[in-house]
Parts: sequence; structure tokens; C-alpha cells
Amino acid sequence: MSDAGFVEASLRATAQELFAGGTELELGRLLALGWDDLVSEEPRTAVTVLAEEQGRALGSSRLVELVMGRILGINPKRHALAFALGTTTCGTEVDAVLLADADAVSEVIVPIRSEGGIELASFEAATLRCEPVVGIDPAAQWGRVRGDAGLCTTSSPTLRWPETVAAGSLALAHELLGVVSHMLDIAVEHVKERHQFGVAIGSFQAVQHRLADTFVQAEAARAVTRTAWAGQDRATCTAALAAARRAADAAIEHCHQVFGAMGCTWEHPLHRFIRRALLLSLLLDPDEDLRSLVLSAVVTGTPVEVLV
Amino acid sequence: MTASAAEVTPSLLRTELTGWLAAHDGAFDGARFSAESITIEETMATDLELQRAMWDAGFTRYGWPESVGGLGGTEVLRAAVYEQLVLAGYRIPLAMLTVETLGPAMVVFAPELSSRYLPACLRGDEVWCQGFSEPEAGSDLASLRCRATPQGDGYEVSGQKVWSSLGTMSQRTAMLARTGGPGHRGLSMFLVDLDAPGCEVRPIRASSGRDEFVEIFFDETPVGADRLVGEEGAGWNVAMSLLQWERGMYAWQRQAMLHAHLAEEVRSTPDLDPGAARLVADTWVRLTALRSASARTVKRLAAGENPGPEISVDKVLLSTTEQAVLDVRRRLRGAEFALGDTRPDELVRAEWFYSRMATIYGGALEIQRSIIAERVLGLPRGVGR
Repeated sequence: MSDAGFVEASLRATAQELFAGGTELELGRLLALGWDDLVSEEPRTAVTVLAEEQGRALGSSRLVELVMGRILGINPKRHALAFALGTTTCGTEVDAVLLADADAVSEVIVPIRSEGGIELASFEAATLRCEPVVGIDPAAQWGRVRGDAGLCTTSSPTLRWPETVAAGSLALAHELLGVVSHMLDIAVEHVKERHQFGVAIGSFQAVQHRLADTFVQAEAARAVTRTAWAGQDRATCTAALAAARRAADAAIEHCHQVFGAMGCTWEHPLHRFIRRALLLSLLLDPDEDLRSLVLSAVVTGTPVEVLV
Repeated sequence: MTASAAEVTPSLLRTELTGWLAAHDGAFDGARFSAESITIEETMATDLELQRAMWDAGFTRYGWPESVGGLGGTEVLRAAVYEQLVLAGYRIPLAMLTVETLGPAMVVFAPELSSRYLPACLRGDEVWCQGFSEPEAGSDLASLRCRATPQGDGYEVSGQKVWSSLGTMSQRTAMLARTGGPGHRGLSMFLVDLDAPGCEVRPIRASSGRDEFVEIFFDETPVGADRLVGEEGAGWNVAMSLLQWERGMYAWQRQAMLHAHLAEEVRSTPDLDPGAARLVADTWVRLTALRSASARTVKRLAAGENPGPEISVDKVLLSTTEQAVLDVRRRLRGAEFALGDTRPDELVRAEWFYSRMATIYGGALEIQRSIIAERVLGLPRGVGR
């Protein structure tokens, strides 16, 4: 096994242990894992493996936030980077989610859209209304912060915001793909074992093709992540997230159907994966960005070199 | 360009080709992406001029072994040239698409035959077509009935082939015939001259309005034993190897062309409404997936790896994305798609109809999905197929 292969395999094993049973990976433990060194030396392996294993195990951590915060120079022990829901401008209401418990941090950083781009506004956690997110997936242990953005003190637009969103989108794509791959795994096992009309339902073409399509969508998204890592450009990273969301949509539709009535019960694990996929789809919505990015990429862009 | 393959990289080839095309500005205007002719025959004629010039200048000789007139190096070099050609605003010559679905397997399975005949095909002096499907053997290819019977030193071929792309303009066909018993073990592949005695080619007008493909009739057509591609009885293996390139390099070539289709349509649509912009963005994401997937497959094939049944993922991505891109062109043209009679309207209509075939030729979408389900995901084998 190559060195890189060894690092990946051992990190994967560690991540599987850490996330066993879908537990929360606390910031302290993530940092103790050597996160800072890992992400600077092997960014692709670190982000890919941890995000995918987190998704697969329905674990929770501040991983995606950390990937972004690192570029912005945010100290995660004191500050939490919030993910704005919709567009926040100065003078409007802040409404954002945190991938962490708001109690653990003293300041919350909220991206605020201004004329010049995105500015980062810092709020004392105490000045915002902070509450845990229950919603569709309480297991994610997110927080929600709301308050008056008029109170914000912005500096100047952060030039590194596009790069930050690109890195976050790519990490999030991997987490979603982890969720998708687990859904597909359990669906494949199910249709091999579930018999009707005297045969495994996985031998029916209608069932086979649903799962084949889900696999194709997941592989398509994985393919986009490879180009995104090669280019690390905003358009392809955003495309990776869009493709992962598409794969998640396919998994939700097709896996749900092949589980039949069993998949509609609370007892069955399927709904927990669907809940997580729908929750993750709230972050870093690629739609608006992609439209403007793509139109220039389509017409004038030089494609990322993928042949080397 | 004649630098030794060892010194040539994809990026060097890209730069050199771009420079060469700029230096020959105006010489191949008919081969520009936006100048495609309505008839496939005219398109072929202008394409072949560019194909020959690129061969003579050395660009398309990289990635082919010296035994067939190439300059050596890996197939990745071919991939770089194809894409760069499109990025510079040209079409990939039509015959180079079929070359990629026949040439690589020929080199491996029929080295002598390849040295003798493939150089002319690569340079664009000859065009070859596939002869696989039959009226009663489409998705169920292994049931084909066209027969090659031993006769003297060689064989005599009788039967019918159908859906051979570019057949009206081809001089030879790489065809599958039954030399043994039923099933895939009884098949052999031959390179047959289309002007041989007893061989008749009839064009089939496609829904696009173009003579996209032909049917070929063989009536006791003599074929030399030296025209066997691979051993007698190895036809299925040759065909499967050939299909890998069709799902690898051909997909790569098509993704380059599909990017150009999308760009062309966006450029010619002055004001994209948000819905249309979203559609373009979604399609670009799918194209990025296709490009990324086929790049990896091309690299694997070039490294001598067998991508295995997962290559069907590429084929599904190619065929569905091809349709998505042409659907975008249809949508963005609005009423003119149906009402217009300008050359672009006609071309987009023809391409749209052509794209409907993408989920049928080279193994129908349903076959690909079943391969993925059974051989990649490990689902139990289906009963009805």
C-alpha cells in the first residue's frame, strides 16, 4: 500500500471508530486527532474521509465549518462560523445555523452580503438568540442564531470568501455522499434478501434500475469532486455540491421506494438518513452561485486539466 | 509536430495544437464547430481534410503505436488533442469517432492487419464502420446469425447487418459473424471490404433526416482468413474490448463536443431567463461529471487496466447527458426549434434527434443499468431480459 493509501486507510478506520453509532465528534476530539496538521498536509484525504464517514454514520461535528474557518483564519475554540439561511444584509434579521452548540463559543461570525461582496460580522454570542435546532433531524445537534443584523460591525469584504465557500461546498458534498452511500448500501442488502413472488426483489429490473440510477448519480457526484479537488475552483466545487444534492435526491426517491412499507416505519433507519440528507441540503445552497459561475465557465472558461 | 512521445505531455500538445490551428486560420473553416453542414456527406468531406492535415502535422499520431504509423505515447495524448481541437472551435472529425471505437481493439487483437490497413484509416484516407447489430440481434447481440463459413483458405460471409454508423461513406467494416455454435463463444470478428463481391450497402435515413447509418447485406462474400480480428471464436472478447474504448474515449470525445454544444447555445441566446440559466447550470454539472468520469476511464485504459463493469456508469452518464444537452438547446431555441428553417435550427433539430439514439446504440440504457445492478451492486440476476 502506498503512503497516501496507508494514511487514508488508517484515517478511515479512526473515523469509523469515532463516529460509531452516529455520535457527536466534539471539537476537542477532532482537534486532538491532529486535524490541523492533517488538513494542511493531506487536505484531500482528511476532508474526504472524515466527511464521508461522518455522513455514513450520521455523525455530527464542526468539520465543514472548520474547513471554511481555516481559510478565514477563524479560531474555532472561540468563534463559530454561522451558515446564513438566505441572504443577510446589514439592517436585516440574522438567521443562521451553527454546526455546534452555541453555548460552546463566545462569538458567532455571520457572513453578511454588502455591495462589495461578503463581509464577516462578529457577534457576541450573548447578543443573539441562540437555540438548539430540533426540526427534522435533532440528532445533528445544530444550533440556530437569530438577531438584529443592524447591530453588526462589519470590517470590509473578505477576499477569501469565494475560496471559503468552494472548500466548504466540496467538504459538504463528501458528507452528503457518505449519507447517500450508506442509504444505497442498506437498500442493496434489502433487495437481495427480501423475497416476493418466490424471488429476491432485487432481480426485478424495475428495482434494479432504481438502484443502478442512484449509484450512477453518486458516482457522477464523486467524479465531479475529483475534478473539484484538481482545480479547486469555485465553479467545480459548487458543481460538486450540486451533483451530491442530485445524488441525495435520487437516493431519497429510489431507496425509499425499494424498502416498501418497512422503510416507512420509525423503527427502520432509513428515515434518519433521509432527515440528514434534507438537513445538509440547507447549507451553502449552490443554486444561485452556480448560475452565474456556470454561464461564464460555459462560454469562456478553460476546463480544469483532468488528463494528468 | 514530431517531438518524440517521451517528451510530449497533454499540455504541450494542447499548446502546440492551438498554435498550429491559429497559424492555419481560415484553412479549415468548414470544420469549425459552428460551420457544420446539414448533410453528413459534406460534413465528412470537410472533416477528412482536417483529419489528414492533423495527421500529417503529427498531432493525431501521438498515442498510436509506430506499427500503425503513430509516434507512440499513451492514449491520453489522443484525448488531449481531441478536446483541444474542440476548445479551439473545431469539430472532432466524424471518422475519428469511429476510429476510436475500432482502432484500439484492432491494434491489440490484429497487429498485422492493423499495420497494413489502420494507417489509412487513422489518416482519413479510409473510413471504417462497425458491423455488429442485426435485425434480430440488437441488445441481444450474442444471438446474431450472420454466418462466416470456411471456404478454401478463407471464409464466405452471408447474412445482414444493420445500424452501421457512417456506413454510406465507409470502405470497410469490422463485423461480427458466427463461425461456431450458438451464443457468444461462436462469434468471430472480421475486417471486410464493403466493395467485396456479394456485399451490398443500403443507406437508412434516420429520424434526423440524415443518412446516419446503413444496412449491409452479405451474400456469399469471400473474406480472407487474414481478415480475422483476433482468433476464430474470439469475436465476443474483441467486441467487449472494443466497447470499453467506445465507453471510454468515445465518451471523452463526445463530452468535448457536448460542452461546445452548450456553449454555442448559450452564446446565441442573448437573454437567459433564470429558469433557463438554471437549466444550463444543471446541465453543466452533468457534463462536468461525464468529463471527469471519462477522463479517469481513459487514463485507466491507457494504463492497461480493465475498468470492468463499472464502465457502464460512463455509458449511462454519456447517453443521458447527451440528451440533456440537446434538450437544453431545444428549450433555449424556443419556437424556432420547431418553426425555424435557418441552418442552426436545422442542425440543432438533427442533433436533437440524433441524441435520442444515445440511449440505444452501443448497448441500450436498460442493458447498462442491469449491468450496474447485477455486476457492480451485486443484485441477483434478473429473469426477464
